[in-house]
Amino acid sequence: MTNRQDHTIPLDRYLAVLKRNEVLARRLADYEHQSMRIELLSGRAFDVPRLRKGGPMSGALQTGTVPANAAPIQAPLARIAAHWDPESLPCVGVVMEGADVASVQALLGLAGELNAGAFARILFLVRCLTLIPLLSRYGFACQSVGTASVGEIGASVAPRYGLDQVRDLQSGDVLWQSKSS
Amino acid sequence: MTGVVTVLLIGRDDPAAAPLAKLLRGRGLNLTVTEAVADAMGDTPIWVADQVTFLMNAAQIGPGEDTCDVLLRPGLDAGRALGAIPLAIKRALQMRGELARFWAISEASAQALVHEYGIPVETLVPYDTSTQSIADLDISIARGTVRPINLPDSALLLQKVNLARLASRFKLTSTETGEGGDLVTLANESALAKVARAPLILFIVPSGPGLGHMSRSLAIAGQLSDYICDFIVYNDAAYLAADAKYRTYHRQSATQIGADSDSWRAWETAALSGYISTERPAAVIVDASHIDPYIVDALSDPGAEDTALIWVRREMWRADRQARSAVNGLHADLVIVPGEIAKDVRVSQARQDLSQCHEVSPVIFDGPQPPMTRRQARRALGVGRGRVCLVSLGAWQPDRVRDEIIAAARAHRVRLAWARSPLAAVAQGDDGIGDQVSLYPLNRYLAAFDGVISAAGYNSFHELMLRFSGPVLFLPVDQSGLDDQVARARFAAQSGMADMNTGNDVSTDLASFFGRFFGASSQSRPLQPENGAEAAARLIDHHITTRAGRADD
Repeated sequence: MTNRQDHTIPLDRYLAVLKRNEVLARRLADYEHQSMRIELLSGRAFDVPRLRKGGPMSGALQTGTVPANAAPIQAPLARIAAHWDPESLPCVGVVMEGADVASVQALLGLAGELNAGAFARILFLVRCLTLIPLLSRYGFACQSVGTASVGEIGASVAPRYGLDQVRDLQSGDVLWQSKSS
Repeated sequence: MTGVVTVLLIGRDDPAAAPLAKLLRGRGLNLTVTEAVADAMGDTPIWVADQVTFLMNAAQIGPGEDTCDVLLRPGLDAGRALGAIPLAIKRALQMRGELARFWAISEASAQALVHEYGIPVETLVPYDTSTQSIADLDISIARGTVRPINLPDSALLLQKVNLARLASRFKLTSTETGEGGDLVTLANESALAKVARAPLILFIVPSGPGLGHMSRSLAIAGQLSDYICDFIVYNDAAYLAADAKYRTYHRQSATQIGADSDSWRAWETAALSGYISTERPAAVIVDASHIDPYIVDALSDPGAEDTALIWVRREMWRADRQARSAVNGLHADLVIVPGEIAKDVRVSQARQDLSQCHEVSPVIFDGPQPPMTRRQARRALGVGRGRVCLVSLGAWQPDRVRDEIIAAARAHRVRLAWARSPLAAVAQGDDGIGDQVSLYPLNRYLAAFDGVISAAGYNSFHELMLRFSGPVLFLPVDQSGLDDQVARARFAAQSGMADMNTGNDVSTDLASFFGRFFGASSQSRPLQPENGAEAAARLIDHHITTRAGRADD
């Protein structure tokens, strides 16, 4: 007869680990949020070395035929927020037009709300590619949409990420909504 | 494309789909390829790639032989009751009248199918075809493989190849009769089809910790002046391709967004396949350590038969990366190896069996602007007078090494400028290390510096060895997943081109290095006759025009 060891974890210890993870996740999110705030408030958050001056516009790669049996991609919860089950949160597309003062202010506001209480996984739909290094540094999903219309963006991106709606960063207005929502 | 669009209805993973699509396009049909008959509405003409797919969709196909053509294929009845499919087709014809016109690929198959089905069957390829080839490939339906006749150990999965693409470079053969022989006939015939193609090239730049893949891609694209270049970029510095005036699509890798890799690949395959069938690029060029399977999958789809896959693959990978990088490389039509100065210690590569492989001189991205003079560069970077050393160590900057660099520079009265990645955050406030500069491309600004301390990645190493005359100290990064920086730096040190230190007792080497700032540098550098980007562009153009020329023969 083998000597079987009990590998179960006492409930109180398990709950303590969960609690500690929650506290650490919260602290990390606060730290990342503070770093992002400092960058955004510096006025140089989107400064990148350029090959030429001019607006680096981008194209919007179409999703293509929706692949059979492929689940939508789960956009991540950014590192400035913490949640015990991020995949339970809806994925919302947010159109960011540029790095002007109003857009940066709106981004600061959105980051603050996400840090205070994660309510969605954000997919940034950017018109300008110089926005991507900063957004990606803080763990946001981004997709270049070029000059595509909001209707085209919704139709193309929604199946890939399971988006329910697309909103404007500055106004918060719903620009596109899936027919099922 | 305008005019009447014919729907080509194919079965899943059908190896005949791509050559059939190309053959039909070559005969003037304006095609859209689909697995779902729902895409065909009303009187839309339909071509069906096999009898099983036809039967599955017969109820939705309108009557009239002018609107439907069906390719009957021998061997597709396997696993079914003998005569079941011919019987089902006869019943469909009896119930719904003249539903379709039926074809076989070869004369031999047509005769057999007339006998088996009891219906008129025309021949799609009425004569045996052959093309000039580099090597013969044997197609085996039974084994599901494509293998070079003279290299029997190098087999590709039939499901993963685009037979029409292969047929444009190789003579395809098969020892099998029936479906195997017919596939070969169809694919060889498709290689002769003339299909209009855009002078367009797509570069795919993978994600990575640095800008090496991006820099080499930009360098080569800059030399392809007869082509329009598009970029799909998985690196966050995608804006650089847009800066260089290329149409740029930014994507994120599965790793970047923590996505399930299977699901991510399915979506990327769909997007790339859609791009290729719409834009019809002459080539997809991938500068990467390995070719991701989604690229191979997209290029096996019908619509990609005229698109070459070109792999730009630098050498000197660490041994732990060799095996992984070879996977999927067999699918490349052309492999271009950017050269290494450190040739003598280069880790030798197994050449790709089915690919033409060419080595070029080191590929360096000089950027669209000319290099700056010392005064211009110092002004642009805000660097004042006195001796200045650039420190470019990437993410690898252990505190101990950093502190020793600062102390040694102070002792020699040399100012330091720390290179910041274009992707890193701008420093906030004074962190005690001195000036930070963000440079791209590096060699445009090199005249500003009296010496450089650097890691030994491909780009930094070759830019410094071929574009900089001052003293250089390499502190190579020795990490798995990267190229063999230690071997590269050691070669430079042994050849008298630079100093190197692997992180032990760095203070002695720093004292020697900074001492070189105050006398003539004893380090000597090689001359580069030509930027490898120019030779790479010539190879790409030659490969594309040769493929097109074969169809014109």
